[in-house]
Amino acid sequence: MVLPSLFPARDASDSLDETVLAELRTDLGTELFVQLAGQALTAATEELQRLLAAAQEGNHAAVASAAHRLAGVLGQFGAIAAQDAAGAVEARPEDPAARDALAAVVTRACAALGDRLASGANG
Amino acid sequence: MSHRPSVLVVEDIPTLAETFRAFLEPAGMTVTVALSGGEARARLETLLPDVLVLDLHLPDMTGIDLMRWVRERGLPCETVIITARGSVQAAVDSMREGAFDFIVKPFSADRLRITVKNALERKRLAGTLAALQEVNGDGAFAGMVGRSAAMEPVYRILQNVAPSTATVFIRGESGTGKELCADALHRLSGRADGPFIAINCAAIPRDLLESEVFGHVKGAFTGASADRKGAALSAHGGTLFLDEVCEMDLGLQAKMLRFLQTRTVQRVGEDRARPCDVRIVCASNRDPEAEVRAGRLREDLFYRLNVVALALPPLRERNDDVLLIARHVLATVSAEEGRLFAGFTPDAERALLAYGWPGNIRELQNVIRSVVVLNTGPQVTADMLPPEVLAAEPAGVGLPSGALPRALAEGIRPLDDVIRWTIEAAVVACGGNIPRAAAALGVAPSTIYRRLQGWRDEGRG
Repeated sequence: MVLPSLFPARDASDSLDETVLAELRTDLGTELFVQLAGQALTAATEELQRLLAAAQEGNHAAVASAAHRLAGVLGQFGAIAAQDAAGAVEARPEDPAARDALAAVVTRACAALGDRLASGANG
Repeated sequence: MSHRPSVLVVEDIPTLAETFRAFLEPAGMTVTVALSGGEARARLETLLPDVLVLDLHLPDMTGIDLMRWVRERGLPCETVIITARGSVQAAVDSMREGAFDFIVKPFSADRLRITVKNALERKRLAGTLAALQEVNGDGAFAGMVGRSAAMEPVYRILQNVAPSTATVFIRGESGTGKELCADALHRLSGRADGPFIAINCAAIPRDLLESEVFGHVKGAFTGASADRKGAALSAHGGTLFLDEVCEMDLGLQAKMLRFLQTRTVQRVGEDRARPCDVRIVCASNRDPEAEVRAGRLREDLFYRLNVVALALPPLRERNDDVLLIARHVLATVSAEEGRLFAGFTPDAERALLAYGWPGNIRELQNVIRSVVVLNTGPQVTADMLPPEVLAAEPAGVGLPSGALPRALAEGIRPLDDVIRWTIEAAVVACGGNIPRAAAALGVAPSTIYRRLQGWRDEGRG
């Protein structure tokens, strides 16, 4: 099992779709964007932990369900690569390589989003 | 401003649910959130949203399960599916189940708003279409039964005017269905989900009418023991129907005029004016122009109310609608009273057609209710009808005095001339009422229409 903390943010610029983020910031306003993106970051981190725990228990249905939720929350906040990787795990919840790839890309996306929020969501 | 559309967002991830709420509320929509299918079902027991924005993947059921549940209950709401990339096939399947559209995450506020607005528009059009289909099916239009030529202009005006906010003045004799017509206008309008509030100005004592329409505050007058909202504010976002509007006294007419000009309501005993968004429909069985001339109806108010004039024909001019309405009422009353009436015998139908119905639809309803309550069925026979209805049967129709001796004095005539004379004499004797004349002659009204048309085509009409 791969834990998120083992994958520090690298190549963060590829993790987030700038167009999606900019549009979302305009639609919501900066204050609400920062608030909801922070909640999305927390939700994604918790969901990944649930997914990995379910995988350790061999509960593929729970893995697929967590992957679906990850795809939803990250996709809406511009983490398109993470959304695709989550979709792959939802389709093959028993595949450890897909799960590892997902953990890596989710961690990078979360780190990138966290950096963006720390810098006031302007970047 | 029109009725504020309502949306139920069913999304199990709270962050996303709040994001979608933030997308929709600035577009003037009222948004409620449910975080599971079970919560959505509970909400739908008390809330009827215009649109469901539905995530397909819920923790306790699928979005398609929820859609089927909604459909089984016949809830009139459109569904927009939200899905992630990779789940598009499921979204397409959901459209086969009746979803209006689907959108794939991530999407912008504009994308969601446009999709939901399109769903709202489809819902409105579906309501109009259902009303139009009714008229082709059982002869009803938005709850109004009848497909006679006399009703065609009424339906045309209803269709054209309903989507606007124009004030409508409905005229017609007592019992012609003016409130039903106002209700049809409301049902076909964009305010259909808002309230429809009807006030009969003739049925409320004049000194109470102002507070009934505009409300009052506690202590405004003796007996005002609590605040009252009033019909106008209760109809906010919907339609206010003022029946027998000519009965309103001149003082209240001035206040009504101010209301129509400012679209604000000042409750009795209150200084503050409140905005009030209502569509006004009014009605009277009097001639409003005559009331204006007599000084009982303010001219300026009349012109404000009479933006669109709609005249409901009396039942005696609606030909076979008498039978359509009679059958409709019989089925309804029979079900209400637990009886098993299935229809009318031909002699009963002839009697219904021959009678002039001075009390119009209300009188017809009362006659049928009386028949259902006093008899057991399964068919309504002529002898179950009250004497005044039977008195108009064929034997009761008199011919123009002196007509028959003159015809006989002319000697033997071609049969076609005799038929024509007989039909024309019957039509004259029945005051131009073709169904009554047909009933008196023992033929279908269509027989007379066909003959009249034939003579016109031959240039003999």
